[in-house]
Amino acid sequence: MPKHYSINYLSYHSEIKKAVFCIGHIDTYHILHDILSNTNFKEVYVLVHDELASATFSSIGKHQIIGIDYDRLMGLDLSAEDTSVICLDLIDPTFYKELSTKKIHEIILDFNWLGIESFEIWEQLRKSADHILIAKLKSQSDYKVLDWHKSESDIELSLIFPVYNVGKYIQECIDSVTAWDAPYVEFLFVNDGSPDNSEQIIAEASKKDNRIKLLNKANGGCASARQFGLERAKGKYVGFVDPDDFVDETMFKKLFTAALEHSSDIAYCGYNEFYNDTKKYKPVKDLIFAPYFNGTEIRNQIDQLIPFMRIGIWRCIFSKELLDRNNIGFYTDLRRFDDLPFKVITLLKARHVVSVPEYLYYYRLDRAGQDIKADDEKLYVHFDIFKHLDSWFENNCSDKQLDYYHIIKLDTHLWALSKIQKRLYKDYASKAKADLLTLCDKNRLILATKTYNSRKKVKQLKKILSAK
Amino acid sequence: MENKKLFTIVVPMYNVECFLKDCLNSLVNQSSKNFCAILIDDGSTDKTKEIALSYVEQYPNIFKYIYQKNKGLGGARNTGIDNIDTKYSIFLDSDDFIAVRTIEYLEELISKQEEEPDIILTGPTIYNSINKTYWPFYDNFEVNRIFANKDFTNVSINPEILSLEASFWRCIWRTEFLKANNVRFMEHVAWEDVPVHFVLFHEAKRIIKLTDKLTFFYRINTGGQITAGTGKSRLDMPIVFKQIVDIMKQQKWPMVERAHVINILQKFVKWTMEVISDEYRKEFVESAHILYKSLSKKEYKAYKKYIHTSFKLRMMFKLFRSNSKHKILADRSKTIRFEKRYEKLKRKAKTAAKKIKHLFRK
Repeated sequence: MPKHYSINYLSYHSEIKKAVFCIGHIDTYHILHDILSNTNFKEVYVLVHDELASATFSSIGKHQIIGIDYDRLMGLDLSAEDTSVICLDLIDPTFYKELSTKKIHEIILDFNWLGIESFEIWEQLRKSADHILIAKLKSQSDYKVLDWHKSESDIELSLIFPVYNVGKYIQECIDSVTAWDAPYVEFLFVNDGSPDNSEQIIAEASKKDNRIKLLNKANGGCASARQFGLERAKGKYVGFVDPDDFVDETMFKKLFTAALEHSSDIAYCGYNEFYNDTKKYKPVKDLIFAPYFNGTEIRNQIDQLIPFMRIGIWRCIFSKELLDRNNIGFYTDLRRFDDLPFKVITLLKARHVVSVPEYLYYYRLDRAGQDIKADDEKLYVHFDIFKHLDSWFENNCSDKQLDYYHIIKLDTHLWALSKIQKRLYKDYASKAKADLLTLCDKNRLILATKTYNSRKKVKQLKKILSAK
Repeated sequence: MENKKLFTIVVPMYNVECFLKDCLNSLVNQSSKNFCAILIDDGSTDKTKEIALSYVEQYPNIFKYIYQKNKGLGGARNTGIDNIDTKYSIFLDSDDFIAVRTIEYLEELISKQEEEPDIILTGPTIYNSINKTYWPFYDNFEVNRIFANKDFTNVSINPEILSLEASFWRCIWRTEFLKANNVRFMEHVAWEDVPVHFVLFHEAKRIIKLTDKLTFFYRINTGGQITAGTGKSRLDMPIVFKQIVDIMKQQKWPMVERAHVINILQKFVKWTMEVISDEYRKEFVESAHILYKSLSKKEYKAYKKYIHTSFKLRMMFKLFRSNSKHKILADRSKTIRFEKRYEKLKRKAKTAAKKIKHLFRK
């Protein structure tokens, strides 16, 4: 069977009439033979390095080949709709730099090894080409494919910051995030009516860096600020960063590279807990290694992330297409934990997920007023969250997904019960029981916990179920 | 009645507005025009009809449009068979597509043959629409092995050809051969091509292959397939296999061939048990139990003899046949417990074997 990627693509894209081949290595010429015997072009141009080669390849099958040199290539019109430039194993970076001065309709790069930095090539060509397809051989006949189409807006990644009373920390956050100087990123700071000096700091920063945009709105909670930013985001990918945390300078470059190279719906990395009083941090154990760092589209592997990946949407980027396709947003009626439903729904609907196996986000802890410290009626918000989520899981989900969903439900309620004040314990437990039994019966709940979780949890579950 | 063209491509369509254009474009732009296509609309409720009619209008000498009430994929294919008047027929699913020079290479291949082939096997390519990668079809390697150093084959030469993926769309059929065998698909049933596949491969005198060229592209992960695969459609599988088991008993097929049919049945059942939802599990196990009961001991022995299987698969066969123990499989929690116990036993056996080896070395 044919081994190169482009042969499959070209063999059925019959709208391509004019093909321009640029070949990096003399050993790759035999692939040209394979490709041309499976395709039907009207005109075939081949960039040849010497006259000897042009004499050998004057025709293959029924294709007449026109050998061209570099100057003629630059003279050709590559912007027509039926034209495609195909580069086979061509790794010379200066070539792409010069090619990026021309308007190109479609460019296909086909590499039979992983060593090439497809992201850098993409960065060079993104201004001039309408469609870029870069395939790298991952393992035998398995490729990593970057498939990018030009869109109207020039922005690829939108980062949204819900700002409320974070004047102390926001400068550190802005500095760490803007260290990546890519022009195709926008930073949307949504000022949620914060009374302190956060607004002035952002305004000042936006004078130095025109990628930073300040959006003001009346106070409405974190969820409403995120939703406000999401509605105004122009990028193909969106990320949400809490402005009291800070990130590794390379974080968003790495996430975006991973997402783009795999055409992924979600890309995420690990995170550190940063203790504000001692200035020490420690990485949090999580599911970021195999098989996720290679990218996965296997349903069960993605579903496993629903209960077993720690919450934290601030270390993920999501493709806007995924959110638009399924109409996913934030529930603005939730005053806290609005990231839990967002994480579950996006993972439920995601078709491809990839992780960056490094700990790049710093999550600040030990700060007064943090949500985690809630121990009273505020915890009742969980019932609202699961009411929203139940509507997603009611129909159109598989058995395993439902099981995983109940595990996260149980875990959340157990966590709340461990935190909650004694006077509310009984009331919460009985409500939790009713909530757990809305979508499935008792036996199945126990079975799911037994199969995917520990025996200790089964005991705790039985305790809840015995509540009145 | 005889058409001047060589191939007819039957395209059954049911609510495929997002994929249909890819499929029809791949037909329009073929390098050889020696074919016509019949688009069979199986009662679609979306824009399928409009898209199809626009193509018919633009290329009236290629396309023909037929509308029928919803009868399932099998029913649409039946209508297709009734309307074919060319020498060879191709059945292309509307979410798949073919490479630009497929028809040209098929023409070339047929012109080289001394005798007309009954079936031409192709080597499709899988297109994963999520991460945009391509893979050779699951059994391409197997096909190449069967055809090594051979121009053609049939069941009496290579009985293992029955163990190939039972997919009707990946083959090119001689129309007279189809009509001589009275091919009829079951209507409103999933997996309807399985019995037809076995019967035709059993009857074919001359099977050739075209695997060195790119031909069919099979699209996976289109969404919708996943949930459809775990639900009610799985219950059709025992019905479908019952038909072929009856046929092979009536016609007294040789034991080798029966073994290969059982092999495919086992694969399908194993796959189903992994994905089926709890709602339908019990019903499926009961009907599969009846199906397994209808297989004789002789057939099981043949299966053991001719097919290279695992212990787990053989155990599954026995469990399904057992009057009482098949109930274990009907309950998911019991199955999980059973598997755990089995794993434990296996581990014990392994360590025991190691110890014995160690002793022998001393």
